[in-house]
Amino acid sequence: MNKTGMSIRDQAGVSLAIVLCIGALLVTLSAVLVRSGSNLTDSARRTIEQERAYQLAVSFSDQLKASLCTDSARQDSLGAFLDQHFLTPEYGAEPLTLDCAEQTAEEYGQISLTLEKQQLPMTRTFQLSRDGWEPALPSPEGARVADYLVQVTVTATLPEASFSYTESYHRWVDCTAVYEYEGASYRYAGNLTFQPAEGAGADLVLSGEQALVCRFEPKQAADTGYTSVAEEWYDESKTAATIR
Amino acid sequence: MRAKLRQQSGETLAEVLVAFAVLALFATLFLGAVRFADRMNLVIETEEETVTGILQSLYAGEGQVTQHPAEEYTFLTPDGTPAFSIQPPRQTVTLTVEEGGQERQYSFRRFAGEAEP
Repeated sequence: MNKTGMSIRDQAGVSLAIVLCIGALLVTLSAVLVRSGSNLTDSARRTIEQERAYQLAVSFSDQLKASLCTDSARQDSLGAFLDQHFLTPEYGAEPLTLDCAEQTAEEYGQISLTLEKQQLPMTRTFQLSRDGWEPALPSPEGARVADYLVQVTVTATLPEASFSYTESYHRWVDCTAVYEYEGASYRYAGNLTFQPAEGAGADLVLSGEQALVCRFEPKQAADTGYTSVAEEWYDESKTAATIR
Repeated sequence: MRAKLRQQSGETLAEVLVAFAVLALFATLFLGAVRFADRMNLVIETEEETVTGILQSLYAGEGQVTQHPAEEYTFLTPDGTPAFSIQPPRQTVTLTVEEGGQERQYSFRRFAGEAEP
């Protein structure tokens, strides 16, 4: 009995310590429950604000697309800015952020743009097989070639949410096609015949299975145009190729 | 009297009673948190239903559309030079939703429609 009594006395304070540990666990769980509940409620409320930002960014991007693909000749349009500044070799390769000057309608958020560009290869290799050229050679007059891939990201920022939407465009330019064969340059004259690009020389007539490298050179004061890459996939006539 | 105070008999019982009281306190706190989370869950479900309803109405074109005059947006390069400008048409879509027996209006702005002259 004495021994048991001593044993109980040795453990004095143990039950309270255990209860405090359990208590700490319960308090932590309670805090987690309350916090996650509040967070989820905020998240549901934020969805509406996110949707507002989404609507603004996507609809502004659609307006830019309409302007770029149909009205790029206007002097102060996005197309003119791309042609005269952003897509010139002098500009460099770094992305450009454009902020909107002061807007009067605050409820339409703050709109900003980020422009990025990627120069596309201006040479193609054409393979002559028994059945003809694969793929078809550009016409002797030249071709319309996509020389740049431009990404325009619209960011709409509202007080409690923001959304960014990116649309990709091809910039098309009228080019002449110059063919390289054994160190000399030729222009295609039709019927598998190529004429020397510069000076006099013998025509080149090809036969058999051969490959020709074609270099596209933009024409002087060439017309440019833009198309949405996403829409090219839906339009079979335009195809995903970058030569027309 | 001193001898009585020094006695440790009944100490374990007192400790267990205190432990139970503390445990009850924590349990009450925890149950309160569970009830709060349960209530929050209901609120979230209701809000999610409302949000889904609003978005469905928005994409179904059920809102009332108000066309506004176009505003010119001029974009500037980092050094402040005007890059280009655009005059997009603007509109507000207003959706009226019933929430807890009350009608509430939600407005969404977008750049669409025919620009007013």
